[in-house]
Amino acid sequence: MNTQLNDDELAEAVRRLEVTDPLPAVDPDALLTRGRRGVRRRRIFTGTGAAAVVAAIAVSAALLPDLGSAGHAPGVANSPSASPTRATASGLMAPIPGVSAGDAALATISKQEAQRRCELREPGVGDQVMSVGPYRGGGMLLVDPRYRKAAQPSMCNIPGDSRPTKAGLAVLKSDPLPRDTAGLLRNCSLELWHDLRSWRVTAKDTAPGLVTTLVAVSPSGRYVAHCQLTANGGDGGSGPGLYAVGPATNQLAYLGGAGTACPIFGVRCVGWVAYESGRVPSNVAKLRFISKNGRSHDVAVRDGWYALAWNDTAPNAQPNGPLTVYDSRGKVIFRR
Amino acid sequence: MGERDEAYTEFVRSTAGTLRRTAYLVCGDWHRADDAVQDALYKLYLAWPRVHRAGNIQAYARRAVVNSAIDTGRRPWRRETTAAVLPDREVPDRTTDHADRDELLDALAVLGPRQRACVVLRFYDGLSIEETAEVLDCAAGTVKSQTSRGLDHLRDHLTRTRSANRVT
Repeated sequence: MNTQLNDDELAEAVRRLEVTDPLPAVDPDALLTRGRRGVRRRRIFTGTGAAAVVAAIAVSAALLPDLGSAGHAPGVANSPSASPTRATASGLMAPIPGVSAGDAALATISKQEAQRRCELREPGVGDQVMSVGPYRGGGMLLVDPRYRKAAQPSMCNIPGDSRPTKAGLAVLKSDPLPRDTAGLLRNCSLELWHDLRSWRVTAKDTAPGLVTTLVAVSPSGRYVAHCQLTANGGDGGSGPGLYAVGPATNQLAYLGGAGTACPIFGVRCVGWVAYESGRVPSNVAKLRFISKNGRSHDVAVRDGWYALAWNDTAPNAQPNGPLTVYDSRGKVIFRR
Repeated sequence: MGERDEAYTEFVRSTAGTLRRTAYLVCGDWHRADDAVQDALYKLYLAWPRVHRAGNIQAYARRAVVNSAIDTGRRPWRRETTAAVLPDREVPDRTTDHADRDELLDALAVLGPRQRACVVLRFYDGLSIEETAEVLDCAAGTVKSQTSRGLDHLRDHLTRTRSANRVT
C-alpha cells in the first residue's frame, strides 16, 4: 500500500476493509430467551399486587449473599420451611430454601420438588418437565423442547443444597480456571449448585486456558461430582452433574469420545478438545490417548476414576483416536 | 412467538453480523466484539417497545454496540489464552491485498478508542458526521477533529511501518 495516502484514499481503504468473522453466527433464539428472562425479572420488581411482592421477596432472598456464620436467611413466603442455619461459602453461595445440606440434598425427591429447584435455575422451566422420575438432587430433569425453542429436549441439572450468588457468578467469570484444589471445588460448587468444598478430588485434568475436568467424591463416599470448568466461566447453568457412586460404567472402547472442535468456550484454539470424566474398571491405572501427529496425553486413574481434558492440535484431530490402557504394573490391558 | 419477538429475531438475524464486524474494528478483538453485540442486543430487547415506536432501532443498536465495544476495549481482558495453547501461526498470506489489510488493521489498533470509532463509523459503516456524532454522543465538531487526527495517525503509522520493513 502506498503509505502517502491522502485522507480520501485512506478513508477508501478503511471502507474496503475485508473483515472475516471467525465466530459462529449470533443465535437470535438464545438472545430471545435471555431477553424474556430480563423482562420477567423487571415485571417481578416493578409489578404491583401480592403475587408480585411475594415473588420479589423470593428472588431477592435467593440472591442475598452470606449474612454471617449463623447463615440466617430471611423467611421466604410460600416456600417450604427454610433451613437458614448453615454457613455458606463466604458470600459466594446461598442455601436453597427448604433443602438440607450435604448428601441429604442429593437424595430422591418428588417431581414437584425437582421442578421447584429447577425453577430457581431456569425460570419458567418448572412446568415444562418431560421426565417421569425418579428424581433426585443433582440429577437431570428433561425439559420440553418447546421451552427452549429447540428441536430436542434439553436438560436442567437439579440443584443440590446451594445456589451461586451474584458474587459467586462474578468469581466464575473472573477466575474460571483456578489451579488450586480449593478454587476448583469452589467453582464446581458454583457450577453444580451444591457445596463441594469438603469433597475429595479423585481425578483432574486440564487443557490449559480452555477447560478443566474434575471428579470429586463426597466425604461419605456415597456421591460423586463430575465437573467441567470452562474458560468462559459459565453462568452457573447446567453441567455434568452429581451422582450416586456406583460401579464402573465407562467402556474402554469409547473413552475420549466426548469433546468439541476448536474454537470453544469463546477461546481460539486449534484441533479438537476432548473433555470428559467417568469410571473405568479398578485395575486400570493409566490411559494414554494418542494423536495423529504422534503426541500422546496420559491420564492417571485412581480407584477407577478418570478425568480427561486435552487439546489435540493435530490437523483434522477427531475424537476416538488410538488409546492404550495400562494397569498398575505398566502392562497393556487394552488397545484401541 | 409474538410480533415483538418475531420482529426482534428478524432484526438480530439480519444485523448481528454487521454489528459484530463494526464492534471488532472498534475494539480489536472478536470475543470482545461478540460480548459487546450480545449485551447491546439484550438491552435492545428490553427497550424494544420504546425503541420500536421511535423508529430508530438500527441507530439504537449501533450506538449500544459501539459504546460497549469502546468500553470493553478499556477493560483488561480476562480470557487470554495461555502460552501453552497459542494457536498454530497462520501461514502469512503474501498477496498484496491481504498484506495491506493486515497493515491497516494493525494501524487501526494503535488509534485511541474514540478516534478508531470515528474512523470506523465514518468510513467502514459510511455514517455521516451527524450520524456518527449521535452514536458517540458528542458534537459534530468533535467527530471531525477526531476523524482527522485518526487519519493522520493511520498515515504516520503506515509510513513508519513501511520504512522499518524496507530497512530490515
